[in-house]
Amino acid sequence: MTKERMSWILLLAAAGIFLISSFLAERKIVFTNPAIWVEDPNGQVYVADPGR
Amino acid sequence: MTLLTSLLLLLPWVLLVRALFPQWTLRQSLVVGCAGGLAATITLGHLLASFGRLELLFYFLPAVLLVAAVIVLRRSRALGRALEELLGPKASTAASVWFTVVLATIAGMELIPALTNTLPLGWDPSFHAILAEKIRLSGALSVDWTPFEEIPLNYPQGTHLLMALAARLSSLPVHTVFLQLLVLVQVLAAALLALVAERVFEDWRAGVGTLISYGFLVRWGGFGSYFQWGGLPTALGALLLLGLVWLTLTERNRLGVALGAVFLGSTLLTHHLSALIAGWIGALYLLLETIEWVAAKKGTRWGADGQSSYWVKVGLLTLVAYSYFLIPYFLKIQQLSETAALEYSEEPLIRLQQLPMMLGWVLAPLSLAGLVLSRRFKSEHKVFLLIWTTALFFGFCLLDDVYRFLANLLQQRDFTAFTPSRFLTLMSYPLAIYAGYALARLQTVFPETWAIRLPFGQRLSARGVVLVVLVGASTAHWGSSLEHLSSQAVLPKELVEVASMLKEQTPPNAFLLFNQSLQQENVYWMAYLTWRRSPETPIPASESQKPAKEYERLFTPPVDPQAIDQWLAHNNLVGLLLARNPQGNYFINPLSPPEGGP
Repeated sequence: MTKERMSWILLLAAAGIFLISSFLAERKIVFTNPAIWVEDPNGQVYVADPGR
Repeated sequence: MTLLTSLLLLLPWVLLVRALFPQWTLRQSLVVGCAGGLAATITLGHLLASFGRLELLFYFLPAVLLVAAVIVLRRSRALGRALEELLGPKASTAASVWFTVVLATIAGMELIPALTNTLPLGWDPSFHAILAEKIRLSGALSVDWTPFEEIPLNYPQGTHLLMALAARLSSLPVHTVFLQLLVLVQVLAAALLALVAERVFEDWRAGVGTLISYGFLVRWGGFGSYFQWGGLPTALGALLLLGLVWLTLTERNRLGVALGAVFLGSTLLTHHLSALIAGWIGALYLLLETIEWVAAKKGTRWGADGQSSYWVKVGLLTLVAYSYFLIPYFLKIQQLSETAALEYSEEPLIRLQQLPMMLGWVLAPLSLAGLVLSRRFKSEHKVFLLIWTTALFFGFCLLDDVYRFLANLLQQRDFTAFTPSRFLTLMSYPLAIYAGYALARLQTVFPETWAIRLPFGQRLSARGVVLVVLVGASTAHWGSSLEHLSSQAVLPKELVEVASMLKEQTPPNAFLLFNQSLQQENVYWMAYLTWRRSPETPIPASESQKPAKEYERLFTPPVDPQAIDQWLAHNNLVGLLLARNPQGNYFINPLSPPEGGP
């Protein structure tokens, strides 16, 4: 197997992990922290914490 | 002024690079020479400052200049080629013209916020200014956070060395140097990234496309984002890593290995996480190379592509050459538990729908298109680009998703390790190359023969028109955020004046507390501006959090005035309370904690 092929597999595996954890966070399963990243109208990305 | 000063610092190194690598084009020599110059200055400065003799660096630079001049004169071919490229017909090729125009536009736009702000935006620059000022005052590396806190210093000081050097040369305060140095670093990063893209895809259009995408379309990892939170060490670490990537693809001989070790070593001295990420990328590349070699038929040689063996040589040389820094550093590893590095809770999970917001709304789909389009492009360089991207995204997912998942599951607490968002920040660099490739492919949709006739017999090709439109639209896109970066008041002017007065007129053992009337102000800047202790001294997550925990215990309402008095007396401190009345006047009183806390 070539490096390129293995790299694609790893990239897709990472994408899979990312998708699953996003799904779990949306459903508040395991990841229950209420803080989220948001963007203000000026384009600044910051952490909003409705739990505090 | 700082930019000019920095160029003075870098000029000898640019000449040396030109002399040692005469086969490079002038553009490559200038860009890699400047980046290499920063790396060499950090390395040399670090060594001298560890003996408390930073000022000796100014004697080294003429020596480097002399050596470079002698080599250049002995190799008159190099000088001749440089002059020919500068003045000859090659100077006005489409590649060099577009490269210069787009880079100059990026530099011009980035200079606007850098020159119109007094203090840098964000929390981080307030502690970078403290560390740089300590070096400027002493000419030596710091080992602790005194006079603010008596805790050891873990943060690498490469960035602060550069700031202190530029401040000494230009006589500007370190916070002003910070702003302008960020512009220099980011312009160099854009230029170096474009060179890497040209090398990977063997097409100057991919280089110019990368300049456009990195200069105007990137969010995290781009100038605007670094400027908002003050991420100069991350930006510098990423630039140094780019230098190593460029050499991996271009120059793998002995000189290339030596320069690569300087790049990697100076990354270690500048930003731990960037160095860790560089190690992670290298380790993954070597692992995949080894698996490929084991799986291949007999007769193949490990590291046949040259890139793997290059990383091994650079890694070993760095370990040996920088052992003076690495050994004491690893001996301090037990202090890691006192820091927040392995229990970092400042960042929540990054979710799928937030990813384009982090990477850039235009960059994210464009880079995805470039990634898919590049599948058909065959080269070892492209494989390196893919593994570089994969390492960063995979590393990000391991920390932000897997590590956090285990922390939630096993400890019922939401934390992660290090700073996963930095993996995304550094991922924007290879993504910008993919986006640049997508832009280059977009141009080639139009046949080369399609052209508009201009007056005086000149032709403007359809591909040229596409480039003009892309540059114009991207500039406008980025320009809309300039307003939010420029002329921002980080602290009220009056408070800065009060800080200056406090620095002049209070005893060195004064301990400042801030009344609730100052709650909305960025009082974390007061430590640097007053050079006095306070509970608001900015101490990053990489450092011992003992002082923060102590202040939390003392000053979280309801406070115990007696406990504060005892604590001040025990530490031989004089408490001062700074407050502001509704009319906007400031008052400083000896501490007598009011009920309900300061």
